[in-house]
Amino acid sequence: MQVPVTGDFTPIALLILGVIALAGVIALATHLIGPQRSGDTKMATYESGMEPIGDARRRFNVRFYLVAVLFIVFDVELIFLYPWATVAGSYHEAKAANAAWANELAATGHTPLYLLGVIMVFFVLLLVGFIYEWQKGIFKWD
Amino acid sequence: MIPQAMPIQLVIPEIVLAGAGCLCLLLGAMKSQAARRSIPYIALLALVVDILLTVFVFKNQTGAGAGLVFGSVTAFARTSALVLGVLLVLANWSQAKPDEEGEYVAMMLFSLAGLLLVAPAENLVLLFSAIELVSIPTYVLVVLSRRNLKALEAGTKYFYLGALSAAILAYGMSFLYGVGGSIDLSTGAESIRAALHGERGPYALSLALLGIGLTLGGLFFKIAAAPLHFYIADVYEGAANGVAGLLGFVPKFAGLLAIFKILSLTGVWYGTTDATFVLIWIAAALSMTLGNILAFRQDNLKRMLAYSGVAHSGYMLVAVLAGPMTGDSGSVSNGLAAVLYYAVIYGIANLACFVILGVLKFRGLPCESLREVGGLLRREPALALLLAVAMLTLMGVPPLPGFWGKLGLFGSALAVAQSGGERSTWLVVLVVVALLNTAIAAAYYLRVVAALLLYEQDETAEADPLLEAQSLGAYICGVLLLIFAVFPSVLMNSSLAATNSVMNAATPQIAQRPAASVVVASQGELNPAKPQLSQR
Repeated sequence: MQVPVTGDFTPIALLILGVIALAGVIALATHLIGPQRSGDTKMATYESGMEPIGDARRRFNVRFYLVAVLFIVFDVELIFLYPWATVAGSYHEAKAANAAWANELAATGHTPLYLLGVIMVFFVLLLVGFIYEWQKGIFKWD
Repeated sequence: MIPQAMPIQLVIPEIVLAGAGCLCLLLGAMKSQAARRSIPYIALLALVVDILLTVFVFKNQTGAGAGLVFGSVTAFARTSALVLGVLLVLANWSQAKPDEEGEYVAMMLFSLAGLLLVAPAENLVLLFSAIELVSIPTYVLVVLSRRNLKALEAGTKYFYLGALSAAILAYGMSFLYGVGGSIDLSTGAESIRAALHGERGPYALSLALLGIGLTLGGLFFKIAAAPLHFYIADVYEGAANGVAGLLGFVPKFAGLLAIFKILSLTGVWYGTTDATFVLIWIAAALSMTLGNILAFRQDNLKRMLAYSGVAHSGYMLVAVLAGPMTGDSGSVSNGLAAVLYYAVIYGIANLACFVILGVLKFRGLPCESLREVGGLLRREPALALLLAVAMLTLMGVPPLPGFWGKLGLFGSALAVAQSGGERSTWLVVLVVVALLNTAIAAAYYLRVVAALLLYEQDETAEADPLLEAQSLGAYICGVLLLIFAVFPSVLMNSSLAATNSVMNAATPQIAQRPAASVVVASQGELNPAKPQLSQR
């Protein structure tokens, strides 16, 4: 499988030009035909939000980073599981219908047991991390 | 095209290591004291089981799948990494804070597992992940290893610069993927080589150069070769001694293996003096010279060893430039065998130096400066002699294994130069630079040896009686060095045997010069794999 370096990038160039043109048109149109009102409310930082108080760069609890880390862990898990589930879920059907990709998977040793085993390894690793975090007490917030 | 599924039976040693790492992590988080105390023993057990598995079960096993290709070079890398792993666990037996023992040992095992995966990795994605599996635990180890601000600073520096180098590496690999059209190294090699020779136009040439340059830049950071060596002294100084010893072997070995894989994509071993040749040449000459000059100026022994590590990376790059398919089967080996041999010897000697410095205490504090080890022979004769042997090995004094290693490194380059071609002059110049540098290096190694053996002073460092495991590790390092000094052929022959297949497969084609079909898939498996690829 060879991907040529100089491929046909015309659609991408068109897309880029289209995006720039559209952005220009929208900006110009807002300026020309939008209503021009002013006032205290209009000039506020967030027109229909909370009034901003003080500096944005203030101290916050360091424990929030753990929440962020946990979020990423489970987020990645979901993103990783989704394509796996699509492939593994339709594997039997596709193989029965003699789909080329399913046959190729089977021919290269990706048996159903292998597919299950691979995702189980991933789960066990995630579980180890989860138990570790639990034992370290990061789910307690006090 | 779907790659072959992972051959589970071939990666059992890696699974054992990673599993033991997970177990250590969980045990470390438990409240029970007994569970925590068992952690280093579990790590040792896993490593010993792995060594037995590798030596007796997996020795001649070859196979491929899921981007991993196992061959004789993989077996050599595995065995040496696991043996060094035992020494590393001994060197890091006690931790700064007892309730972090689990993390500490687990990170060490994960890093070693990454090293075991770098050797067989034959596609860009796997290679990158394996290298990061080596690197990321080392950032954690540097921070965990000591309870002071210096370690924290060192770890932070190492982490940010390491993340930067990982980004550069990934960026470079993305260009290689673009030019080669495949993440598989052997599939993409042909188009990358054609692009580098300018056969596909200036556009492809510039992209290929960018890819090779950036990828090698990222890997130079891992092996601490100049001009990406700047972090090394601060990191080694801030880390505990056992971890500094680990940094001298695990990332360096992984980086060198990866450099060989990346260079197999280029025509640099087939007699051309292209940009890749110039890049490696400059990095080698610069690493040796800068490393030695900076090491010469250090008073702190840890910083001195750190900069001498830069110089040793430079020596090894000389043989990297020579490539795996030259030399006879005598003491002048091919470049790959020489690097494999030297990286192991350097790893052992460097670890020995650091562990001994860690065992020694001066007024209750870890001993770091040259003055503190002065006159050690009278106080701790065994450790002083061991340290002297390790320093002389690094220096390359004839009977010691460092000499045979340097002979192989420089000999392989001279053997290539002998075959003629436009690059032979440059290779000879590089070897001359390397020899001059060895002489500079002798000055600062001998300064330490002289301080150890000849000086006399009232107050000197003494061994900490609590650090028994570390002392044991140091003695084993010393015994290994002496074994390889008396029987230098043991390790050298095995490194030669491991690389024989690579050498034989590539050598006949050197005469014909770079027929674009000469694809060095890797040091692991050569082109014989190619017919299989087209069948898939």
